[in-house]
Amino acid sequence: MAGETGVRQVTVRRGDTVALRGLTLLAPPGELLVVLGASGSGKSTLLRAVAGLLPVESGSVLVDGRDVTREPPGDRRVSMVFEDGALVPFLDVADNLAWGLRARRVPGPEAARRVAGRAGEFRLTRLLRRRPGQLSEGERGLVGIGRALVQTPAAFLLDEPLAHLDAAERIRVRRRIVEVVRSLEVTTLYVTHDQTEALAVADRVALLHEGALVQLGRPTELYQRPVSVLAAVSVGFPTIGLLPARLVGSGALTGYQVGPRTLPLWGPGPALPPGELVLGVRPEDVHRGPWPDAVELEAVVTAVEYTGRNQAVTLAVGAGPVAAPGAALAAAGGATLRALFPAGDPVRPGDAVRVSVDARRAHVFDPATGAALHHPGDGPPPPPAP
Amino acid sequence: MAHPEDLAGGGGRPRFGLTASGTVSPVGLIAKILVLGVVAAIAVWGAFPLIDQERWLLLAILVAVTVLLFAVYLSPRHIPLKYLLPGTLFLIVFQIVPVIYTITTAFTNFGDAHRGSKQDAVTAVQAASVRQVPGSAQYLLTVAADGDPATGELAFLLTDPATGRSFLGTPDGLEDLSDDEVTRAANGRVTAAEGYTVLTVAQAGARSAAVSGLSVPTDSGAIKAQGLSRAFEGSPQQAYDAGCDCVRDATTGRTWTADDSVGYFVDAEGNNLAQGWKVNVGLRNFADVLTDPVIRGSFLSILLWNFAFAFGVVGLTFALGLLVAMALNSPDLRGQRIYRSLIILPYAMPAVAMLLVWRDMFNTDFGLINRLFGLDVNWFGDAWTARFAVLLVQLWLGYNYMFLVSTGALQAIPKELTEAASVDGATPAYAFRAITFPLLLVALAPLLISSFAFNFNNFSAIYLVSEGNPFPPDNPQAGATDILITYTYRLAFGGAGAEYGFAAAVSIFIFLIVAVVSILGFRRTHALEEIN
Amino acid sequence: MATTTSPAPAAAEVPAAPARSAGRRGGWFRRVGWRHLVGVLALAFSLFPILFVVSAALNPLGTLSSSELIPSGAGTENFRRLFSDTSFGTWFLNSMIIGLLAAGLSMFLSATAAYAFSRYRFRGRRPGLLGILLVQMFPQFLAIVALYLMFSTVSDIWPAIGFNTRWGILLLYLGGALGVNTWLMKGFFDTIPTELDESAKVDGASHTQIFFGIILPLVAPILAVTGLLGFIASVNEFLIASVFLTDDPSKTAAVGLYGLVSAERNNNFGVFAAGSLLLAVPTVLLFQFLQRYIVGGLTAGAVKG
Repeated sequence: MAGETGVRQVTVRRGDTVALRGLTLLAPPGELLVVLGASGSGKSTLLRAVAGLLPVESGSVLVDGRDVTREPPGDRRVSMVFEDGALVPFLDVADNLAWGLRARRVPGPEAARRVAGRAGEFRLTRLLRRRPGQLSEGERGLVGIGRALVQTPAAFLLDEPLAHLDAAERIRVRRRIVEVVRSLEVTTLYVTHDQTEALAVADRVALLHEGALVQLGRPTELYQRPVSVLAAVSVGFPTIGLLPARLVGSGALTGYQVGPRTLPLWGPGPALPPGELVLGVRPEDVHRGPWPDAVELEAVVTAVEYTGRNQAVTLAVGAGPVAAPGAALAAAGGATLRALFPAGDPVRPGDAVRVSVDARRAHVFDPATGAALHHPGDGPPPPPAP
Repeated sequence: MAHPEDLAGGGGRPRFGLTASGTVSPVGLIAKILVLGVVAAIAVWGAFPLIDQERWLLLAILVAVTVLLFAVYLSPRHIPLKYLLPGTLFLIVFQIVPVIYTITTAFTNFGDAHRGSKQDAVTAVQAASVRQVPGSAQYLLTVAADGDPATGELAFLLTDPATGRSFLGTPDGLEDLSDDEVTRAANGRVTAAEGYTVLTVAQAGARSAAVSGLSVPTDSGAIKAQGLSRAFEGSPQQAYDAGCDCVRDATTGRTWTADDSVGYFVDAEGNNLAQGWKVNVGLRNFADVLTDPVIRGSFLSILLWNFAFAFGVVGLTFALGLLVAMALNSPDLRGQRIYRSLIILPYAMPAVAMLLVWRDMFNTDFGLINRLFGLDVNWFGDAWTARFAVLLVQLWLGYNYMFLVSTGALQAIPKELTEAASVDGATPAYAFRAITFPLLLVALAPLLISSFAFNFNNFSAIYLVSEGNPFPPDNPQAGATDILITYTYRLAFGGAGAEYGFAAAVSIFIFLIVAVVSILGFRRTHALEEIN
Repeated sequence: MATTTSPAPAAAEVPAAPARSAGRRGGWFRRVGWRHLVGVLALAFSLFPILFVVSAALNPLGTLSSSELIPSGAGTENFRRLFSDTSFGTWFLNSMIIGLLAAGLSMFLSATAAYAFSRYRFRGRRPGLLGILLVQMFPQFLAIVALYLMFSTVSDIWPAIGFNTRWGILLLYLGGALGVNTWLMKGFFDTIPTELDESAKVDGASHTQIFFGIILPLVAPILAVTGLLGFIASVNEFLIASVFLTDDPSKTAAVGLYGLVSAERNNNFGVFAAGSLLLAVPTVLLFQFLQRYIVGGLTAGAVKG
């Protein structure tokens, strides 16, 4: 068994809307591929198409290298975790866990052994004789996960498996899921809308938007080299700040002009087309007060969220609005930066503050298409040919 | 639209020991074999008599249905059809086919006077013209019935006084009765016969029209009754002549020519023979319904009362049922369970019997209602008391059901909704009007509408209680409590002969009315939008 | 009584003792009392005709004109006559056999159809659902003539399922299996999350395993309701049965009892009442037995959003 799992050139229509348009997304054997997207992005549709619960209009579905496009769900050798567990109400937890194994005619003792094992790992042992109605929402979610993980399929499909768990439980169960699928070396498609979860568990993350793939890559790639404004605002918390800018100067004296200020690049700038640009600045590159090599900008605090270790501050910068595709997901209207201030700093909404931004740490996007033009660390362009 | 199941195609490779259609489960496989085996057995059982009687069309249908059943259940595709087919077959055979048949007869003159083909009519005319002629054989007659004396099919038990032999005479012909099958009186008259009930004089008298109408065909003519104790064998006086397509009377020489537009043999003066045949009359029945002055005169008032009755029953039962449901729907109430069990008792009583009991309770002279309340009301003698009475009876029969469904719906409405209203400062009355009642209405709309459709044609509710009474002196056909279906019944079946084609035409009007009202009801409550 | 035990919040503000007790009574009435009042009135309305039937059944004279609301005497004469002078035993048995079979089979046919309508999307689904409802709106009463003609032929070919047989009328009743009940059931099926089916499907369960193993046990309340409604409907069905079952031994109890009073109403009334009471017994027992399902089953499917 060694083959890819996922979809190739798949289009799925739900009613009048196209939920997936010609999507290709394949996970190599043993990979934990997280599908990240907002609601309506088509991520659940993708999972259901792989499971065979939705018909695909065109394209093919692969499970472990096998084309299963025309096979019914039961023959695809996948096991799936549903958002609310999908437990059979009149069966107790033990029977629910064993249900799938029985349907697949796994011998009784073997099934019992596997159920007992997984129940232990997920702390379900004391619940085995209870019925779903007597469980909390979180416990039901756990049983739903256990129900899929007792099996030995060719691929796991997890649809928001942690949705109903509380915050502490979420991290524990998340780790447990990763341990299990890694130890089984089973390819896993893991759907979530939570980017923190995605970055934490994924081998690779596939970012979906409106039925199409925005970016596919390792978590660090997604964070450090987002392909577009949309990808940049989808990953990272607090969200990336966006500023309208234009490249000014030439030779060694270039910089980004943001409103009345110019942020110097201290060297030859990246090769960028003339005209309007969008700068993306991660919160960790925005500092209060002066900062080496950085120019200060005037900003007004619009929101403060205390997180314990620090404060997530949203800042309005005196500059025009950013209209690049996807920017609306980050901020409505004018240029916005986000920064992490130390917890002790006195800061209140409405305060005027000065923040320093190192222009060399900025991502650059095309305002018309939203596509990334430059990432920090790309280095200056090669010297122009003589 | 394609479905994942349809895409399956059935070529599932064994995986996890299970294939696409899932029938590998041994229990399922055995059950499938058993059921299909029973289907095959029934088909074979049904086919033998069909072959025997050379009914090839029915045989073809039987084979087609059997093949369809096997095809659907042996194929891994068409999963919804597997679940729909059995119920649908029954629906088609026992509801849709009769309804379509009824609709088609609306375009014919089908009825007592026009039963079968022209050939059948000729046979009947000839048999009816059997006259006693000099030298006719005479028989001693005993009238008997197959089964119930009042309703069983009539038969003649005959003894030939000359030979002493006995015969069984039915419309199908004459059969010999052996001596051990019958008991005879001294004069040879049959007093008992195996399988038949001998009618008393009173019972036979009650069916005298049928007795004199019965003719037993024989080789030389037919045997007919003469009174209730004698019969004669006569020969037909009227015969069909294919040359003139007419019936000619041998003694008088009169002729009646076939008229295919009305399905009668008609003479020169326009008089027709009693027995005609079934012909297509186009839209004449519909035209009759719309233009006949007698029908038109009462149609509107009956239609109005029909609507008032149907809406009244639904409204009253729902209102009372809901009131009681709300009253009893409180956790503080003691004896809730006992109240509920006893209040729904009328629903468990046999409805036909209780309709008759109610009719008797409204009896003017010895009815319980008058005696109990010291009244002397002729309930079914006045239009309004009669209408009150039939509504009250239906209220009694129906509010229990509404009580049950309202209780269920009340308990299903989330408590948060009414709690939110009370937090917002709404009075209980306002919360009921603005939240509880609209939700109930949406939930119960399909039940209310089907209740309306049922009561619009609730034949027993009127026929068994008031029989349409009271009737105005000038119109013995249209009573004050008549609804369309009872009125139609009286018009079409109550008179000299049943006029089934006409009744079918009225039933199509009724269907259109009910369907339009129901669809309007569904539209208003948006119940149909939910099915998608 | 509840007056002495339950606190009345409104009463606390009333200072004077006599007024206080009046206030308490008023509070009790507004909270529970009116409910009892409505309940008792509804009870009286429901029960008095039944009481009349009981009294008539026990009335030793057995005539309509001598029957009172309160039994004037108690005797089993009517019951004795019911079993000795009529074939009530046979009628009753016929009613039970036809009623149970028709109810059970209709319930099953309806449940399978509701499953298809609720869980699958196929061409003709919407027209099918509407058609089921529309057929019911045709005055079935007139279709009896067509059914009669149809069964005349059937009786000729297959006497075993023709007139005067249990099988014939049973088949006829199954024709009504798809109807309002299918809608009721579909509404109930719709409330069961499809994720349950999907998860079983992914696990390799067949559609039959899903239907029998998961869905049917979950819809037990609505099965109880439609089963009971079907039983009541077929036991009480009269119009068709009276046309199809004319042989005394083949009659159902409803037809037989009607025959008793249609012939001689006054004299047979006591016997008729006795028979009606006995006929109600199985229904009442079934009702009590299924009661815990019924209230929820009737509308849980209907109220969902």
